[in-house]
Amino acid sequence: MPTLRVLGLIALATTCIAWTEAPHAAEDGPAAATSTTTKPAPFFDERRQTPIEGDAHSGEGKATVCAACHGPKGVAVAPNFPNLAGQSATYLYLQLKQFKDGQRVDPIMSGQAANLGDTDMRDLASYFASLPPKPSGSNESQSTGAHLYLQGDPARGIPPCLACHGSDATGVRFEASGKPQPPWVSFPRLRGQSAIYVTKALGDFRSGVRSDSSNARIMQAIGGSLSDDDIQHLSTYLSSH
Amino acid sequence: MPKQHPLATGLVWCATATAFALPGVTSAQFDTSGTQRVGNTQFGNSLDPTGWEPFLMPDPMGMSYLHPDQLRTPTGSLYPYPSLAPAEAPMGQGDWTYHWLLQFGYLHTSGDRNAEFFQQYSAWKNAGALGMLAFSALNRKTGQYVEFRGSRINDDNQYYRLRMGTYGSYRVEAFFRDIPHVLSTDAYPLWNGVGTTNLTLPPGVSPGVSSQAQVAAVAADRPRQTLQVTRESGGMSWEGMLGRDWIGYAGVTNENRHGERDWGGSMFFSYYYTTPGPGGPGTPGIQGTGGGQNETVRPVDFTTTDINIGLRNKAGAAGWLFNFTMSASFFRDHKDSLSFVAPFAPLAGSPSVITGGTFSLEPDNNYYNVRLEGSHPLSFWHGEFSATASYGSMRQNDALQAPLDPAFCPTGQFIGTTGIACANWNTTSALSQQNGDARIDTGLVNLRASFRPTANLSTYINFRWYGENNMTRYTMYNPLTGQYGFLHENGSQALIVGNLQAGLFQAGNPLYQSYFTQFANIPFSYNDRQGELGGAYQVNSHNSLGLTYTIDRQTPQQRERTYINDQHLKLTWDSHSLGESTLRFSYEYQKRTGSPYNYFPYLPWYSPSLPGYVQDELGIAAYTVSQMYKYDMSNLKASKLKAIITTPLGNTATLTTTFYGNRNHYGADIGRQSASTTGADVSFDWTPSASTTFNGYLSMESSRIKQGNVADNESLIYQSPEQANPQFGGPMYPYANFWTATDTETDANVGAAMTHVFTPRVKLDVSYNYTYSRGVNGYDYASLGAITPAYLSILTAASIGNSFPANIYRLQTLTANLNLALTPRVGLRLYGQYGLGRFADWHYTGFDGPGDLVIGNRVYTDLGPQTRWHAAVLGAFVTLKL
Repeated sequence: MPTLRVLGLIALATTCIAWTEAPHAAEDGPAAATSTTTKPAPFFDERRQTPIEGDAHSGEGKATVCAACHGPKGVAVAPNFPNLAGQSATYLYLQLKQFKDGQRVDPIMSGQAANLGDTDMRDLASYFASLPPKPSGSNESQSTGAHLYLQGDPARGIPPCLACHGSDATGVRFEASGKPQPPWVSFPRLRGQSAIYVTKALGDFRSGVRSDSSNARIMQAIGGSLSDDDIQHLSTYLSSH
Repeated sequence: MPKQHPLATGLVWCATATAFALPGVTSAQFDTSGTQRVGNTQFGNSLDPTGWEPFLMPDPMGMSYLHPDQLRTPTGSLYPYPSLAPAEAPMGQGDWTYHWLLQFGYLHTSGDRNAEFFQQYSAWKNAGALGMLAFSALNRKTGQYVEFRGSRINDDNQYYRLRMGTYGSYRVEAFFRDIPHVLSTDAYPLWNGVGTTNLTLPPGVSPGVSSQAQVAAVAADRPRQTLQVTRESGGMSWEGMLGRDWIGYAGVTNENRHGERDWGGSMFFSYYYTTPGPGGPGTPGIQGTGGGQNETVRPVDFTTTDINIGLRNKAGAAGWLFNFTMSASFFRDHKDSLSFVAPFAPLAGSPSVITGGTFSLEPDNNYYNVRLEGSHPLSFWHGEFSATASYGSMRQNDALQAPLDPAFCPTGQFIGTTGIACANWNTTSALSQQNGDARIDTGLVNLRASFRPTANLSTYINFRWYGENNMTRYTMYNPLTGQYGFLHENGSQALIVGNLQAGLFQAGNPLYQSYFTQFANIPFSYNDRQGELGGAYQVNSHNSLGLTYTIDRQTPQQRERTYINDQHLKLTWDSHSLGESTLRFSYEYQKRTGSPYNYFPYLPWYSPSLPGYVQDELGIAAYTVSQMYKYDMSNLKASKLKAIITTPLGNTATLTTTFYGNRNHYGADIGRQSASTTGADVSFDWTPSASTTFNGYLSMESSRIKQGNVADNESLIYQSPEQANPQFGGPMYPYANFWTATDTETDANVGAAMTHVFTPRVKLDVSYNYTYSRGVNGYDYASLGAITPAYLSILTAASIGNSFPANIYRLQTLTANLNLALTPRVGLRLYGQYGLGRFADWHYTGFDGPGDLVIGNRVYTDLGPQTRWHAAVLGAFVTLKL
């Protein structure tokens, strides 16, 4: 019986402590309430992402508004917008989803994605992926940007970009090995993107503006090792390549 | 070196970069105490064997943002998921952050809570307990940190550790720990004064005059006691940078061991049957009334203080890497002796002066060691040369005790009718020296050169010399009497058997001039020289082979052989060519030979080597049979085999199978003949996600040791000169008296453990383990001549059989932990452990109650572990955290 009494006291103490937690919660309540609109989005784990499927034909019909910035054939009308033509469908879908769910925030895209359903996002992604990519430019491999992309800089902790984006920056063609694989289809094609857009993207990763997904965390760590000059060299290389 | 593809390089870099970015990898679960330079070993207790249970919430992000499943080790095992880092809060306005956790509650035991195997290493009690108290603070800017953790089940089972320092600069650690070892929970010591150095008889029993029935009656009413030894240790240590390249370290650890344990107390042979029982030959004999064997209880009160100080160079001075260490260990026994009063007279029906005995317990010991290690790269074949030299010394110099205790052999008295005066033996004046003055020095030199001439080949050559020099010299000489030797069994042997076997030698004295006895310590020493040549070759990307040859030449002194050569040939094969599986295979063959075997090299330390020794006309009874080979000196052919196969099953499971065995064949009929072990382990690990882990395992092992011996022909002792014939097959050791003993043991262990996080607020750990062990002491003999004559009259071939009853140990344990997070800061932990055991050991047969502990002139203390028991411990804890 003494044991039962002690166990009872423990239960009582637990209840009391849990109750004393309630005022904390109550105190936190208003703050939480006022911050409802800014509540951080849940972390988005992309590691098990498989290739998506969508109806490109249907997506074409939904892409009218997109053309205003990204061009009627997925090639952006201005260098501050990314080219979508030929991009990985899965990557595009994931970005739309993150704009909608709040992991990515953009004054224009957050609003555009907010009204899209999952099927819409798949169709749009499939449509833009089906378009021919912007024609490639030079194939140089001697510039500082090319060296960074192809070799990295081990002394400064910079890995070669080709590991995830492919040697020609169009993506990785991998073979199953039975070992855990990165979600290759979720990594974007970089070839032919404008220098301005690549600079902005790398800056966003480095500053942590884009950090709420597993892929963004990878780029956040890599971005942290890049200097402004590195970013400029890479942007130039990718835009001309 | 082949250039790695940039794709692979990039993935490795990405993995590395993201791993550092993961918050969980700096979790406190990583414990570097194992370096031994700073701090003590891993902490934990029965409530939490890991020492970090409250922090072990797996991080669903695993070790990489790149892929969802865990990678595997080079041998194919899955890396475990790291734990989530605990939530931290800023401390003040500076750069410090901190977190803390407090878990407290109550433990309740039920069932057969006093079962020995239930209590063995836990000492469970119904009491409040501290599951964990942890505090940690870190300054990420400066790298400074402080960390404390502790856990307390009860006074005998607790640990606390404080660690602080600056990463890359220094670390200081202090700890305190108590570990219990319950040795018996149903001891009924006959004596009063348990735990002291003086055991006295309780009222109702008088030394030397009590009957067996009287002693048994008193024993039946003795209170039940628990015998337990607790190891209490504490210490401090430091490790820090001294300049850019030098690292210094120092530590002091103090351990107190205190408690009681079963002990002995011999007063010469008892159970000496001279006649069979009432049923005639072959029936149990009448219990003897001579001698006495007493299972007493001794105190344990030791202190061991270890001091360690060193300096190492991490960058190389003139290309050398150094490590210099000085260590010392001081052992102190705070209870130097144990005396006990014997309940029975050693000589039946004749009250005597010998009424008890005294043990000299462990002496104090000082140990010193200095060690220097260095290594230097070589300019060819990517080689490296390394050398180690050390010197150590162990010394004991306690004051020696008198051969007999004046309490049990008072001055003015004599031992029986021998004429041996107690006054000549109950004083330290009866010793040849007043202190032990014992010393053993050791030295070690090791030289090694290793090379990697090609990317696929690595080789090494190693020479090692080790020497042990025992400088202790003690002569058992009584200056008061001029006699050598010692009085056996507290003088009771002389009392019972008389002067002829009192244990003494004295030249010119007809009573003692022919007695064969050891009169000095034998200073066993040896040198060992070892050479080893080995290498590994990477045959292709899937296979590597290794070969090692070792020659070890030992030159012992004062032993049966003047030299021993041990040769080892070891082959290893590591392979990835068996599908997805990894194989690690090794086979070793050993052959030992040596100089001719001398079965009795100890004559210089026995009385026949003293002047004045008069050999009896019947000669000296053989020391032992000349074909007796001690197993460490015997020829040997041995082989060992081990194969470990690790098979990945998808990305989340692993099957590991291990086979192993060894076969030792000694070149002896008398002595150890053979020893073998065969075993297999199977383990299945499944981690479908961070929230679920499962491990199932099965281990089985059987072992067998066989030894042979031959009983001496006792009818020749003191009767015939044939007593000196040591030959196997001769009259003293006839073939008919040959016997063998074969000990076989079969062990099995099966179990499973599962952890599942239902939600981030609910975590359940469940494990089950079943352990089984069956041991049989079997024997065989050429004829009944192998049986000691004293027992032959009460035995027949049928009653002897061919084995003792099997000893069986079975234990099942079910353990469960449920952690509930009531709020982010408050949680509840429910702990349960249920144990079920079965135990059978023929040594304890017939001990059903304390009244059974007196058999003839033998007094036992311990009823033995419970034969059937089940018990549980339940705990409820509140967890509070930042």
